Amino acid sequence: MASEKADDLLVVKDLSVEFFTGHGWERVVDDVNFTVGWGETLGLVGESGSGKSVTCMALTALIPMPPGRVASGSVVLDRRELVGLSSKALERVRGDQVANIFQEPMTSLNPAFTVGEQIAEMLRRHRHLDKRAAWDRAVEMLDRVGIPNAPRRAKEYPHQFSGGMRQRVMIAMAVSCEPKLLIADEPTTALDVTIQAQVLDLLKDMQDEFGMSIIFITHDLGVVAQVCDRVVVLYGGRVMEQAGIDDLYFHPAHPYTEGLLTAMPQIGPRSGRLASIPGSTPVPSALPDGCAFSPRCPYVVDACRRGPIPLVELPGGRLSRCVRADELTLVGTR
Amino acid sequence: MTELSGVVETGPEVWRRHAAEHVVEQSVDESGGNVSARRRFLRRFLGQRLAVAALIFLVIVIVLAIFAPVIAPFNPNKNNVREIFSSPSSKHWLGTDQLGRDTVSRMLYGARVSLLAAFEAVAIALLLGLVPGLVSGFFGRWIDVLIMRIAESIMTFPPLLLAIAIVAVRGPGLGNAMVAVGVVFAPRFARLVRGLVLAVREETYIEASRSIGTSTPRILRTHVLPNILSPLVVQISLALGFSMLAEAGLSFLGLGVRPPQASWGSLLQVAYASISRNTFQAIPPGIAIMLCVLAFNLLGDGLRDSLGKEVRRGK
Amino acid sequence: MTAVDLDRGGAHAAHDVLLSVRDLHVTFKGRARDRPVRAVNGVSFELARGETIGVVGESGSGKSTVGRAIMRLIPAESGQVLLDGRDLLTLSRDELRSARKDVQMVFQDPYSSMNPAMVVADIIGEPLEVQAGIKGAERNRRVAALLDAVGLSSRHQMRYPYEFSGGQRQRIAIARALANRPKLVILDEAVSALDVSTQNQIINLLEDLQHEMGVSFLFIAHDLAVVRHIARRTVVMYLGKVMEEGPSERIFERPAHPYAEALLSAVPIPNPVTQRQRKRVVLTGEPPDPSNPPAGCPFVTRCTYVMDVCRTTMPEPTPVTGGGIVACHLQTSGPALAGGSLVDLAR
Repeated sequence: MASEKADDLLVVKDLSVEFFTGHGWERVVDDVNFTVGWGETLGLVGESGSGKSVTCMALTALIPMPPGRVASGSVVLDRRELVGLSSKALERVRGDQVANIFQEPMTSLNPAFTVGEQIAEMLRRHRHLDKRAAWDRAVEMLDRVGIPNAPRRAKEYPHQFSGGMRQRVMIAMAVSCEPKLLIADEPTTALDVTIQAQVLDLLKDMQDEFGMSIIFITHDLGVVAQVCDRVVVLYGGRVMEQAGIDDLYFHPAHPYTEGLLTAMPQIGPRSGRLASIPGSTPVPSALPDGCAFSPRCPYVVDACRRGPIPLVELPGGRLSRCVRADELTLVGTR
Repeated sequence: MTELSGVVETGPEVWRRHAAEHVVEQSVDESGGNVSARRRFLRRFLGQRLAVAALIFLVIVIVLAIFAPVIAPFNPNKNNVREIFSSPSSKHWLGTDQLGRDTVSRMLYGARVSLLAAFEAVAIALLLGLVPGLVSGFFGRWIDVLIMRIAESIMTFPPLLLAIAIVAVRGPGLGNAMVAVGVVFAPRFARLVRGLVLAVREETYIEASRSIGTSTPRILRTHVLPNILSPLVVQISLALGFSMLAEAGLSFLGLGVRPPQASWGSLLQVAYASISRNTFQAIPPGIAIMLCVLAFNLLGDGLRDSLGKEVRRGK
Repeated sequence: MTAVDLDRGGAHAAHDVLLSVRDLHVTFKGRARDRPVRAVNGVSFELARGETIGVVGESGSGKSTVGRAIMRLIPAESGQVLLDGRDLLTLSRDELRSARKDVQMVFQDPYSSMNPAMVVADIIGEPLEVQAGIKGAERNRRVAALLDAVGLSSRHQMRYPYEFSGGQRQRIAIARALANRPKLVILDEAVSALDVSTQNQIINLLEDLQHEMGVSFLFIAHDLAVVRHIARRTVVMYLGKVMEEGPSERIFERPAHPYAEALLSAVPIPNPVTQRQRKRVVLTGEPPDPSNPPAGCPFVTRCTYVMDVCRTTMPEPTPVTGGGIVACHLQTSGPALAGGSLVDLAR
């Protein structure tokens, strides 16, 4: 029902992911739908526990199964279904067509190998380059992402780089095979703000150069405003709102989005007391009936507690999982 | 939420009012909240069946040892030449030894000695090792180096030789033997405690305590000690098993208890010496020692598994 | 540098000043024995009674070290820290113990800053016992009152820290810090580990408590938006030195130092239109190695306005119109802003 074009790069339909815990199967991601167009940056926004990371790891089956599993849904990348692919086939997809970068580069970079070697290995595996060619290209990539003295630094180990430099190395590794889709999971959250600015610019450059699409996972609405074209807002493992960037910020269609925008401290002039969303994010095992956000919502009515709440399409191509979406004119960013 | 001709009020003011009306989240982790840490540990521990069985076994042995004077059917030191090396019978459940003394009685009294000896040795080890370990770990620098060098020097001696040497100097007897075992163990405890303290020392709550102005002894007492207690208790349990074995060994070598006092180790020694004449007498003390040491180990493992998470629990 | 030397334009009269940090230096032994790290390299600022000052900077700026040095958790190499006229750095051990009543700290990590083996009542009660000798029933009464003041129920006194959420733990930490009504509380990234909603609640709580108790806050943080909200004045640090200091309003609207300008420019604004239209200053490179700082101004390696004099001489602080000071040669050479802001420079 989401306005998807036949030539979207990625189409995620009715995706649900469950984890087996002591209390049985818990649904952590519930009926998630979204698309990513070619060359587009999609923001996946949510607080911790919203399911944003799990959703993206499920796209390329990076979740350990068990205890996790994709309960239902489809993930179509460039017209090819990924759900149910053999692990061998998935291994060929990962790194080559879909690349991942994470918040903490130390966990994705192998401390026992030089950075040049790690990039070269990817090139040898996916692009079948020989040793010499792979190394040269690795050095080239490191230079491209702004590592000074690339030929020398390619022989160094991850711990010899600072946080910002390590993220650049990660980016170099991720784009070395020119993937169609880059999934960036909170890539700048742990970085200083001036370094973050550099890394975000770098991502944009890489995107322009290689024509990649990016899924950008974050909880920071400032970063989203800077880098994303469209946004999906997740809460309690469900999509609450999906909209283009300007629509999301100026005409939010879900109370949770409005709450997030209102709560963000502004760097502009002071605005009195800080607003906040009372309560806390729900755990998957304790989702309320009806709307997941209803216990904390200031606009809640009885209809909100009778579920399930469908995702409806609003004028302008926006989607909202709010019963009162057409009634409420929510206030966006000032 | 004022509704004015169908238009619902929205925006920051709504959220501010909403937040003011909602009392600050009072809910504490209710799933664990009502159950105190102690109860949760108990629940986890009781689920470890082997450890529970070990504990029950040890409790039984201790009770038997405590009530030995009451329960023992015969005087353990009463010789009866007519009944030398008799086999197990209805009168002597475990038979008699080479002097006709009832084995059951000697085993019961021996339990007292062996258990007491083990606890004594561990107590001495703790006494000698705990404070140096605390000081070494917490203060570091030259005192750490000094204490650790002393500890390592003691540890370079082969334990048995060291025990023999101490007994040779102080004279034989169970007390001295257990002092020897305690001395052998002390540096190991010191090292263990030091390691635990090193980890705790870096925690922010120690820094917070300093910033409050809490005195160092008080920090050690209220912040460091309680947080190293759990792993320490596990090691104590294991050490008890070890000490019991050490006592058995020393008594077996004749360096421990003096006759006619009985300990399981000395019973084993006597039985071994006359094994050609009676093979059975080695069995009761041998099995008893083995089971007790096993029980202490299982108990220690069980404690470690059920305590481990509590102390380190952050989130 | 006394309070009189620096024209703070809008700053406080001398008797209003609670904390005066003067030329503070803190040095750590670096990896190489002969190359010490000057974590704090001549920092000065003032804080008025009942007010909040923000100290911002990125990794390596030395902002956390300043807090710890004031608390005397780490030794300072030189300088003065005057609290109500008394130099904290020269106090004897006993004097320091009694001075602890006046300055307390809230730490960043709500999980490791409290002893997991102690119940909340004992955690909050520790300063009461150690600093004021209050024990027993009186102590418990005060603990209950403190829990109430930070928005938690005193029912939970006998619970352990792990039973609370991150935000609740920070409330407990705040209760502990305020137990003896200190004059100054240093908050070292106290809300950085919390999600936005919880963070806002804690900030509102801090503002309320300041209003009630008149306590001053030294708010160390890297999140500029939060600092703008809570702090009347801000200090911007880079590699151990103060780059700019002054009223938050002024710094955020009209920064005078290139680093402050870059910092503000780098903060993403949650408004796509503004974000697209704003003029951004993106720094190149990374902060230099603190054990091997550049001669002259520490910012030379990344400054967009760098001039020759910057490479050789460290700029002296000069007053800024609108309040505060800035340490930048642009004020006296080149365009010679003379108290003006970078905003005035026609690009």
